[in-house]
Amino acid sequence: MHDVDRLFRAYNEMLVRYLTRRLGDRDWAEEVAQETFVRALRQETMTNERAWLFTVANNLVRDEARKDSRRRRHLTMLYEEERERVVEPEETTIERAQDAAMARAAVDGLAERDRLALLMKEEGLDYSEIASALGMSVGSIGTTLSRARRRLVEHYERLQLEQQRREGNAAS
Amino acid sequence: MQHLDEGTIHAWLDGELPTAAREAAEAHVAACDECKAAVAEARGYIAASSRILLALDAVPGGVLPASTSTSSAAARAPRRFMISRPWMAAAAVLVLSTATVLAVRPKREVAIATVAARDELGASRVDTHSAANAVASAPMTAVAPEPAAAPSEKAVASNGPIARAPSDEKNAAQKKAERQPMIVAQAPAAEAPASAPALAAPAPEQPKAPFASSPVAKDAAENSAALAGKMADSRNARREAAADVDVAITGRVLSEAGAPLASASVQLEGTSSVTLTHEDGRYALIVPAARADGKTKALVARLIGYKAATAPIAPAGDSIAQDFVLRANPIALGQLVITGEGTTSGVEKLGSPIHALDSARQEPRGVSPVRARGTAVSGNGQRNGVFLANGAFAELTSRTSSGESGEPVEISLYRVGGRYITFIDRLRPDTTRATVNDPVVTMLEQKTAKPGATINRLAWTDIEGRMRTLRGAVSLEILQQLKRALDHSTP
Repeated sequence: MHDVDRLFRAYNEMLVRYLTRRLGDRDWAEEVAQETFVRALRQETMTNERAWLFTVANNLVRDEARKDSRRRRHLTMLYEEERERVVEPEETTIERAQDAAMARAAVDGLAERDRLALLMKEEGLDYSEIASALGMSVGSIGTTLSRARRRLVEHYERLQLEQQRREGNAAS
Repeated sequence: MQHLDEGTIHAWLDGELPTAAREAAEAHVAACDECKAAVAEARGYIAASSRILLALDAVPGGVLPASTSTSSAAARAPRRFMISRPWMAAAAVLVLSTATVLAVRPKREVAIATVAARDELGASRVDTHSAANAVASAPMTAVAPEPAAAPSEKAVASNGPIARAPSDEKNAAQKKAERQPMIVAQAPAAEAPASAPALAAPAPEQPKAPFASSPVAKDAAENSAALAGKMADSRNARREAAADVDVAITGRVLSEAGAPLASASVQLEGTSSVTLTHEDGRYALIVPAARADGKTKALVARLIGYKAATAPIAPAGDSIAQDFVLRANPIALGQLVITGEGTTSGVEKLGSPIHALDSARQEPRGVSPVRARGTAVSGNGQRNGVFLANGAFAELTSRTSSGESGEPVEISLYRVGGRYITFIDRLRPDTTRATVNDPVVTMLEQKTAKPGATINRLAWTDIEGRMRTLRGAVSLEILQQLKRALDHSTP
C-alpha cells in the first residue's frame, strides 16, 4: 500500500491545478484528484508516481466524460451546495474573468493532445513523464509543445485584439 | 548546417535535450542569427503561454462590477500579458487625490478546516463589500491605477485606518509561511464634498478580526494547528486576503453532567455555517459578514445520542458567546423506522434519525457497523442515501429489491475514526442540502451494493466506487482513516 499521505501532500495541489486548468471546473478537478488518490491507495507499485497520477487522472477524466448526464446533473447540484461553503480562489473582477475566459477559449482551441502536454508541462512534468502519460514518444514532445505554445499564444492574442476593438468601440 | 527545428528549440529551452544534442544546438545557435531569432521567439511563446495558463486559475466566480477591481490578487499579480489592457478610467481617477485604506490581516489559521473555509468565504465577501462601499461615491470606475504599487510589507495608510490583530501572529508562526494576506482598497477620495462622509464611513469597520479577539478561538486554533496546517498546504491557492466583519460565535457544548462533548455539530440554521466541537467541547463558528444581518436565527447543536439544543442568536457585532447543554436521548436504534416521501426535504426528516442513534452503539474503534433501519421511499431501484459524519446524519431513502416503496431497509454505518461512513449509490438531489451542511461530508458510493444488503466490514471492494466531496486536509484525514480501518479489517 502506498504512502498516500506523502503522495497527497506532494501532488494534490499540482494535480488539482492541472485538472482545474484542463476542465475549467475546480470542483470536478478536486473530485478527480480525490479519486486518483483513492486509487493510489490500492496501487502496489508505481515506477514514476507523478506520471502514474497524471495518467490515472487523465483516464478518470475520460471515463467521467462518458458517464450519464444524470450523474453530472446530480453532481452539479452537489457542487452548487458545496460552492457556497468554499471560497473562490481569488476575487474575481470583470477583467480577470475576461482574461480567464480568453485563456479558456484559447486553451480549449488546442488539440487535445497538445493541450494535455502543455498543461502537464506547466505542472513540471518532464518530457518522458508527459510521453508516458500520453502514450507518445519522448522525441515528439518538443514538437508537440512548440505547436501547443505557439497556437495558444496566437489564439489568445487574437482574442485580446478583438476584445480591445470592442472596448474601443464602446468607448467612442 | 541545418537549422534547428522548432521542437528541438523548445526541447532545448525546456532542458530536455540530451547532452550531445544540447551542445550541438548551442553551437549552432551561437553561429546562426536565424536560429537566434527563433530561440528568442520560442522563449516568448514559452513565457506567454505560461502566463495565459495562469489566467485559467481565476475561475470565474461572482463577477463584480469593474469598479471594485482592487483585490490583493490583482495587486499581487499584475497583468503581464503581452498586450496590456488600457486602463480606461485610470487617467480620470488619477487626477483625484486618493485615500488608501490598507488593512493587513496577519496570517491566521482557524480552528478547523471548515471554519477556515468559512472564514475565507466571509473574508472574500467582505473584500467585495468594503471595496464597493469605499468606491460607492466615486464618479466612475475606481480601479487601482497602479497595481504594482499596492502590495507592501507594512500597512500604510494616508487617510485610512489600519488594523492589526497582533495576537494572531503567534498562531501564524506555527504555520507554513504563506504569502501575507493583505487587502488593498483604494478609493478615490472626495472630489465632490458631498461624497466625503460616505467614503469615510465604511472604512473604519473593515479591518476587524473578531475571531482573533476570542481566547477560545485561539485555543481552538492551537488545538488544531496540525489540521489547519494541512489545510493551508492544500489550500494555498485559495488564500484570499481581506479585512472582515465576520461574526465569530464561540462557546462549549456540554452534556448534562458537565462533560465536554466532542464532534457535536453546531449550525446556524438555514445557513451553511456549521462547525464541530473539539475534544474539549469548544467550537468557533464564523458567520460570514454577508449573513450577519442582525436577524435572529437559530443556532443548533447536535450530537448523536443527544437531543438537539437550539439557541436564538442574532449575528451582529463581532463575537457572540453561546454554550449548550445537551440532554441524552437514548432511543434504541434498532427500533428506528425512518419514513419519508420523495418530496419531503432532507432537513425535515433529519429530526428523528439524528437523535435516534444510540450513542451506546457507537462502537469506539475500527469498522463495526451501526445499523440503521429505515423505510424506503420510491426510487428507481437504486440504493439511495446520504451519510455523513460526526453526529450529523442525513436522509435515508432507499428502495428494496422488490421495488416496492415503503419497505424497511437496513443500512450500516461504519465508524471510521470519528466519522460514520456508508456506501451508497447516489444521492437524491433533494437530500443534498442536508448533506452539504455537514462540514465533513464523507460520502462513498458503492455500485456493487445490492439493495437491502448489509455490509459487514470494509474491504477494498467496498470502496471501488467513488469518493468525493472531500477537500484538502479533510480528505487527507479521511484517507488516512480509511487506510487504517482497512488495514484492520482485511483478513
